[in-house]
Amino acid sequence: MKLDKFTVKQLAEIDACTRCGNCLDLCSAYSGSKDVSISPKKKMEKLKKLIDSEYGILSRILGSLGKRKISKKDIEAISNAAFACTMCSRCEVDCHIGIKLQDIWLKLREILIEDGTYPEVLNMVRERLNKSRNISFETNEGRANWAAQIENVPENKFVKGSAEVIYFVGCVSSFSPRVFKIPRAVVKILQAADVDFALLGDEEWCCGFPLLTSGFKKDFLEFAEHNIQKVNSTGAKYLITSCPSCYYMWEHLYSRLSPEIKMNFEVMHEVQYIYRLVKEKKLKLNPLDLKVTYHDPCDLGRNSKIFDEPRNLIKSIPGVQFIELENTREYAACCGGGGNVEAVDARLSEGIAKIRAEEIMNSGAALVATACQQCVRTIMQALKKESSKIKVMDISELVLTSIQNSI
Amino acid sequence: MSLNGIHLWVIFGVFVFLFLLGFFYRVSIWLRGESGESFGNEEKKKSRIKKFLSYTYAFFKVFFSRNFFRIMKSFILDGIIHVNLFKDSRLKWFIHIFMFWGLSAFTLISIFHMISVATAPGGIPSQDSSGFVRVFGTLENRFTAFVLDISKVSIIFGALIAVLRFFIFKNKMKSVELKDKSAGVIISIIATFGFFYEAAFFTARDVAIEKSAFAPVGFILSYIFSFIKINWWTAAVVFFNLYIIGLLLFVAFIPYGKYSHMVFGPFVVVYNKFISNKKIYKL
Repeated sequence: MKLDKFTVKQLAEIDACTRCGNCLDLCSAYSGSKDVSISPKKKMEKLKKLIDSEYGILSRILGSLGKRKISKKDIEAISNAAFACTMCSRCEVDCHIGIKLQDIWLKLREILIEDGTYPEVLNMVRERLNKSRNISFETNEGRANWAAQIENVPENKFVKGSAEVIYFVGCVSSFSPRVFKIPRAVVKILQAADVDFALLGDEEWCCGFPLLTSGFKKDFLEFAEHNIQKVNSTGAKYLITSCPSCYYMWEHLYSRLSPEIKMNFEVMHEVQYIYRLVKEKKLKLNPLDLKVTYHDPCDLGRNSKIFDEPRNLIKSIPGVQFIELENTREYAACCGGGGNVEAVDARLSEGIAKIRAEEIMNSGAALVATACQQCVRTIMQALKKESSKIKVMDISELVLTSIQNSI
Repeated sequence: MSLNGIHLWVIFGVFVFLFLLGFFYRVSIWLRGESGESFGNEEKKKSRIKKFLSYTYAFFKVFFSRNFFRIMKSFILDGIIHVNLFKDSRLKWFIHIFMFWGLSAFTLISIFHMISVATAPGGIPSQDSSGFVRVFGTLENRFTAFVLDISKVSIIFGALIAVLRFFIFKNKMKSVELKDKSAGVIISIIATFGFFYEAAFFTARDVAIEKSAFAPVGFILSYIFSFIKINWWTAAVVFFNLYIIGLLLFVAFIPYGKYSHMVFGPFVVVYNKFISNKKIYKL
C-alpha cells in the first residue's frame, strides 16, 4: 500500500488523532450497521498501525527483520471500512482536533484503488462512466429526454450554444425517472422568471463525483476538464446545479484543478439561484398551508456550508410553517445515499436512511423538502418502508408548487 | 547512599535522545507524504528537506503575523484547556484534564527535580546552591512537594473516574483500546513509586509537618512508614530512581505510540485552524 500518497498534513493528523471515539456515535455508517470496525475511530487506528508497519522505527532499524508485515487481511479490513463510508463528513464536525477526515477517507480510497483492494462493483461504476459519461450507463444523447414532457418545450430541448445561465442537470436527475420532476421544476421556474438558460445536453458529462469518491482520481480529471471547457464555450455567467455533489465538485474541486484551467462563470446551487430570483421579485410565490421540514444534504450543507438559503427559500413561501429536524445544519444526519455506499452495500444505505426517516416522522411535518435528488430518492424509499404519508420534495418542486399554487 | 550520581545524567541523556528521536522520526514519516499543493496534477517529487522547509516556513509565516494572538488564544483554548471537549462532554473533559494536566505538571517538575538533584552535591541543595536548585532540588521545598504530590493525585483521580466511567457505561463504551488500559496502569504504578519516594524521603529526613503536609499523600504514607524500622533513605533513593526512570521512559515513548497526540495534537489544531486553508509556500 502506498501510504506515502497521503499528504504531509494528513499523516500528521493521523498521529494527532486522540481516538477519543467522539466520532463513533455520529458516524452514519456505524449508526446504520452498528459495526465498530467501519467507524472513523477504528479506521484511524488501523491507519496508524499500517503506517507504523510500513515506516515504523523497528522496520527502519532492523530492516526486513523487524518489519511487521501488513497482511492482505489487514488491507481488506481497511478497504471494507473505507468503502462503507457515505462521505457525509459528520465525523469531522465534532472532532476536537479539527482533523479534515473526509480528505483522509478520499485519499485512502485513492490509495486502495491503486493497490487493487476495492469492491468489485466499483469497476462497473468506472466502466460505465468512462463509456457512457453518465452513472446510469444510458446513452448520453438521452441526457435531456426528461424535458420532452414539459409543455411547449422547444425543439432543441433547451440545448443551445450560448446562454446567460447553464443548468447542469446531473446524472441522477437526467436518467432516473423517479426524480425527473426535479429538473422539470427547475426549468419551469427559470421560464417563469424569464431567465436566459440552456442545457449542455449530451455534452454534459458526469461531474466525476462517483469517480473521485471511489478513488479513481485520474479518470475524474478528464470529466472535469471536459465539463469546464464546454461551459466556458457557452459564454455563460452562471452555472447552476440541482445536485449538491455536482455543486461541490464545481465549486470546491474543479476550481482547485490547475491554474491553467479557469472557470469564467459563477457556480450556484439551484436553491441559491432560485432564492435570488425570489429576492429580486422575479418569482411570485403563492400561499401554501403546509408544515415543512428540511433535510440538509451533506454536500450542500456540511461540505459547502449552504444552510441559510434553502431555509430562507422555504420560509419565503407564504403560509408555510417551517419545522427544524432534531439534527440539523452541520449536525444533520446523512440519508445514506452518498459515497457510493448504495452501490457497495445497499442494506447499509437503507439502515442509515431508516434513522433519518424516523427523525423526519418525529418532526410532525407533512412534507420534507431537500435540495438533492439522491436524498429525495433515499428518503422517499425509507419513508415508504415505514408506511409514512410524509411527502418528499426537492425545494424546486416546492417552489414550483407555490408558483402554481396547486398542492 | 546518595540521591544523585552520574547515572541521572545518563538517564536524562537517554530520555532526551529517545524523545527527540521519536519526535523527529514521526515528523520524518509525515514528510514522506505528498505536499498536497495541487489537487489535479501529479505533483513533482520533492525532497523531505524541501517539504520540511516549506511547511516550517508556512507555519512561522502565519505564526508571526497579525494572527499571533489569535493563534496563541487557540493554542491555549484548544490545545491546553480543550474547550471543544468541554463543550462536548464535561465528564470526558474532567478525566482528560486531570490526567493531561497532571501528567504535564508531574513530568515538568520531575525533570526540574531530577536536574536539581543531579546538580546539588550529595543530591541535597545547600545554601550555596542556585535558586532553581533550592526550589526544585528537594521535597522540603513546599512548592515542589505540593506540585509533585497533587499532580500525581490528579493523574490517579482522572484514571479512577475513567475506570468508574468504563464500568458504569460499559454498554456504551464501544472501543476502549488495550493501549488506554495499559497506559493507565503504567502511569499509576509510576505515580505510586513517586508517592513512596515522597514518603520515604519525609520519613528518612524527618521533615517537619509544616513542610511535608504540602504533599498530603506523601505525608500520610510517611506517617505509616514511620512505624516500620528500615533504612528509609536507601528506600527513598530506590523509589526516586524507579519513578524517575519509569516516568522518563514513559514520556520518551509518547511520540512513538498512541499517545503521540499529546505532543502533536495542539500543533495540528492550530495548523488546521489557521494555516491549512492557505497555500503552502512553494520553494
